[in-house]
Amino acid sequence: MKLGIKITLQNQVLDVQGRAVQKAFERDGLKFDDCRIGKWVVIDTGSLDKESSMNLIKKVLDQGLYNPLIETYCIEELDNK
Amino acid sequence: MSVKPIGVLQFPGSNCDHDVFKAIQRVHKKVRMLWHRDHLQIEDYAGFVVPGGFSYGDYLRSGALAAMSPAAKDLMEANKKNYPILGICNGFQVLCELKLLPGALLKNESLRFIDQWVHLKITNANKTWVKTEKTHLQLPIAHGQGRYYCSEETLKSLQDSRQIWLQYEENPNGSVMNIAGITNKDGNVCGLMPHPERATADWMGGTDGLCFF
Repeated sequence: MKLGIKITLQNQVLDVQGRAVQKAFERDGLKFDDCRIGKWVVIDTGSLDKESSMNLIKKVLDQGLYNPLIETYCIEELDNK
Repeated sequence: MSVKPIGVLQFPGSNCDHDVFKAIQRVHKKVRMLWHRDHLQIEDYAGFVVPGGFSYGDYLRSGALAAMSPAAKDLMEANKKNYPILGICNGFQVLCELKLLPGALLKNESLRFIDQWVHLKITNANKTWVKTEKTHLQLPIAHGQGRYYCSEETLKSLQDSRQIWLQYEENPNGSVMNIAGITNKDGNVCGLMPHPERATADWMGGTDGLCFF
């Protein structure tokens, strides 16, 4: 099973990369209110079913894939055809 | 009784390990390199230094993968036994990832890698690692991710417990409260972004780093 994990900085943490990207586009006349940059991690759990895969991913997250002090995450089920 | 050596942890991507080794050798005399994949024989050492660099190429987060190595995990045990542990730059990031120190180090506010000498104030003296009567130091910094960050609650706890060790006189990277270095509550674990090992001889530009070793 393939799962995608989106990891971004928490809202209260200043995202300097996002700010730099926002300002660069602003110079080209493309304005938007905010920009946050994160990481996209794809993990293939092989033949594990959904429940076991989610349990495994949560252990991986807890053991350091994300830093709960500064980051937040969401898990997406990818096309597993 | 013979003096035990100080252990310097080495990871793939460490690049200040030999500088730290030589700085310790100059002052403490006994020092030994420790490979990250090996477990630490804690009792054989007087203390441990996690040096600067870009361990594991800063993949995932600075210090995150190094913190998962057997040697780094053994530092948790060393801390329980109150051994002195010092993290310099990337080493500071590793100690934060291990949660031996609170908070995290983020990309500099300017997004630039900063390489310059800075003036520091010793906010709370820590005699475990710094043997000096000075209240101010001049040391070099060289980092892209040195912006110290923690929650307001953690910051209050750092202040209340006198864990803010070093502060920049002029904030170079956007760190909360100009923080350049902190300690744990017991004072045996210390982390700082500046590089004391790069200020241990006049030809380097200063000798304020000598008192760390």
